[in-house]
Amino acid sequence: VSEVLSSMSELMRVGGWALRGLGYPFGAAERGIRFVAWTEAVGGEAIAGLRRAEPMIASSIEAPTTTFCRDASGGWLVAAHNRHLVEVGPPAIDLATADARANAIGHVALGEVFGFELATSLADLLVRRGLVALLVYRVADGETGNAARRGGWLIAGGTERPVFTFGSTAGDARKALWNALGTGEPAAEMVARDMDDANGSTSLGYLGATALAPESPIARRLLEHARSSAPGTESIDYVARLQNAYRDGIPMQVEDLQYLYDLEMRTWAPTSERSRAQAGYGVY
Amino acid sequence: MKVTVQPGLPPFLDDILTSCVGESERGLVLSRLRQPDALMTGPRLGAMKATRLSFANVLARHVIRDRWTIEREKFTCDAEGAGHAIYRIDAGGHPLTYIARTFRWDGIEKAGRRSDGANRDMFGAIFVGNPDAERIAQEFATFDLRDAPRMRTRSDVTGWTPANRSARYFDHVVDSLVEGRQPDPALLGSGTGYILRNGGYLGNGRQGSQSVGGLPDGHPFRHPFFGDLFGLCLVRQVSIDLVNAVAVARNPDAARLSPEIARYIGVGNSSGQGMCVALQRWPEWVATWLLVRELALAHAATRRIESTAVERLDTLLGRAGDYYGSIRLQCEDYVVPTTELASNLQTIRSWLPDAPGDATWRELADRVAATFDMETAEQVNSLLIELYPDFADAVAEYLPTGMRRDRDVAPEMTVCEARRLIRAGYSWALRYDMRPAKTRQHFWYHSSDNGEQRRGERILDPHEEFESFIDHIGLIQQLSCVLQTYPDRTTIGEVLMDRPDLYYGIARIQYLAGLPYAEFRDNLLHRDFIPAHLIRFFLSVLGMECTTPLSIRYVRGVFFQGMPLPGEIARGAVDDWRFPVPILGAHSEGVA
Repeated sequence: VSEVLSSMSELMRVGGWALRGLGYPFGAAERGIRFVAWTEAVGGEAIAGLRRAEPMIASSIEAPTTTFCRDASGGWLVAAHNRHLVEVGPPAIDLATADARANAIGHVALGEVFGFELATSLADLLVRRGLVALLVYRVADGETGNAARRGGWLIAGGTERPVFTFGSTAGDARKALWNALGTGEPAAEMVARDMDDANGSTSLGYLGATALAPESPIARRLLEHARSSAPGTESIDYVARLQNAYRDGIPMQVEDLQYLYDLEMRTWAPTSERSRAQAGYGVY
Repeated sequence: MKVTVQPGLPPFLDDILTSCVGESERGLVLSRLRQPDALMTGPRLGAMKATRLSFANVLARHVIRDRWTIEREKFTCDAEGAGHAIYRIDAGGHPLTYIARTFRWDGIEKAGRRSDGANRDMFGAIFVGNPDAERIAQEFATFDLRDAPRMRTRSDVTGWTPANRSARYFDHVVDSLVEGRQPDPALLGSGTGYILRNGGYLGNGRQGSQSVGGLPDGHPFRHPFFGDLFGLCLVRQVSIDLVNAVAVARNPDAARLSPEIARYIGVGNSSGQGMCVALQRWPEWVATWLLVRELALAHAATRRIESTAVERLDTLLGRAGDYYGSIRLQCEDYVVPTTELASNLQTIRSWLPDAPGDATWRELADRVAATFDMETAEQVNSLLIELYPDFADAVAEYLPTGMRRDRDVAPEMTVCEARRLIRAGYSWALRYDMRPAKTRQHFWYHSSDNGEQRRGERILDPHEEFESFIDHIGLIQQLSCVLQTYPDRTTIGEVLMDRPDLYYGIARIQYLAGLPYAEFRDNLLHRDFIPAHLIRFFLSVLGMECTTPLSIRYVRGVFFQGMPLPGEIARGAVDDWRFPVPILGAHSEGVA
């Protein structure tokens, strides 16, 4: 048997400890597992990705502190110093969210990252916050595995039935995205830089995330474009995938689920004598 | 500044309160809500007893009111108890199937720990719908593996119900039946009336079972704890059917359990200090349980005393007193002895005729609190809630809603606002002095020996690095200190970019804002903290009776003792079954 059925609840329950077993502190692990479980549930093979990335994660725990600052256009520039998106992805989205809620638009450019299996779950976070997301990304050269899209863009948004549409940063899909963005818009300039950075960056991973208030004209145009089934784009119904995962379980490779449990076990320890002394009957 | 309970209730509860008592008395009820500083302590919470609002009792009410049916389709077992059972269930229009695999007794009394793995005396599975024979056979084959790592199920199963025999009582019941007589109810009562005990429900995704979130809207198991607790109901039914079947296998002329004794049998449970970790992990649950409970209590306490309510309370006090008087506990080191509880309740009963006609129950509750211990007072509080079932049942509907909270952070909040939030809700935590070594003496960790939570001693024991989260006071103090280092207008998003590990603390202060009963005022790390208090609290919320700590970290008791039997429910039973007393000389007519 190479495949086994897991569940959202099982991944959430075991996974928080598993991320601690990888070296993440409690608060970051508690948050990160939601993105890992979501991604695994929709077929994103997040846990296989963690397994492959474990050596890089181990290095990142000791890496220099993440640094960030405002850029000239009012967005955020983040240098993650080779960290996994499970750790730096959600806070980066927080930066964009805070700006979008204050000014209808927020942008974060996140460099030197890996773990792009989780990119879509970050867009989902913006969607759950009622915002429209436009992600532009380029997977790090060193990152292997099932990151089918090495680079591209993702539009996500909508309240009733959120749409998630992927496209390329080259060719017709790129042109169509430009048309949707419109000229002269601050968002268009930010995305243009994202495209340049994603296409031209070094071997390191790059994620540019734009968060837009849903009532803004550009957000509406982007969603319209995402729903248009334009050539070179692909829409995936993650809502349905998630519902199916809750209802029917999550098919996983046995070794991936076992890996999760093995990571959890790293956080366990033999019962100490002082612990044993608290057992038994009567007053301690 | 003293933190007081916010006068504002969630709209759902406020509407119920206003419609029941009117605008004029709404304020009176709210003024009676107890202050969190007094309520949220281990000893007070540990003294609380199951109420009409406890989950097992809410479930039982649904089962009885909607006449859920539990029909035994098959029950075969040999003289040693090895067998198979299939039950078909109609849970208020939702078909379920329950299967049970009972195993031959191996002579080992099992505590029911996670480390027991597959080594249980029984395994059961609750299917959604009606699986075919092939699927049922697959599940039985999984149980027969008896190898925990290889035992997995699928999403058509809501959970497994492992259970173990209480050997002494199981054997007594079977031996009695084999000899053609009923077991001794007094002996059963001395063990709090169960013959199988819960081995730890494995549901909501465990072993590949269905996540609760995957069940369709309207399914009864979408309600918190209903899946787990109905599993216990079914274990209770298996225990009754099993002793009957084993007795008949040994002697075809054996007696069958009389309905009176069968009804008296509950299902045992023991729980450890992992429950404290769960409570710290889900403060929104605690906040909801207590708000609903305290509101029902405040409503009851502010009602004027009327003769029908006096009669009802007299009956309840009598039954509760008799019940406690019939129980013999193995250990009474951490509780008020049941004989004392029984005596106190009888004394309070004697006060009832003196109750003035223009008084409210508040006077009685205050007199009880001033005269007796906290357990007696909380037992009376529980019975006061019972006097006004319509109000209690209405507010109980809030439990599932209140327990669900979005834990996402609001990254646009400024540091200044966050600090204000901490001062408003956590001044008690900021004032707590964590410098003495005894205040941080313990840490909690997962034991690899048995898969359960254990307490280690800081510095002396290794593995602090992976301690379980229970230190909410330290969390708030640390968060407060870090926030002091940022300018006022910095956003929480920027703080989290600097310190992703602070997510949990920030989310906690944000999503718990305005929930007065969310946070314990005790320090769980403290040398003198007794986990059994919070374990007892959790179990009473679930609906367990006789919550008895056998040590500071381990509490046991019984569920569903006295609940009507399936046949009685199908015929239309009354939902008034708590505090059963063993009926000496029960007749020998068997349970079909």
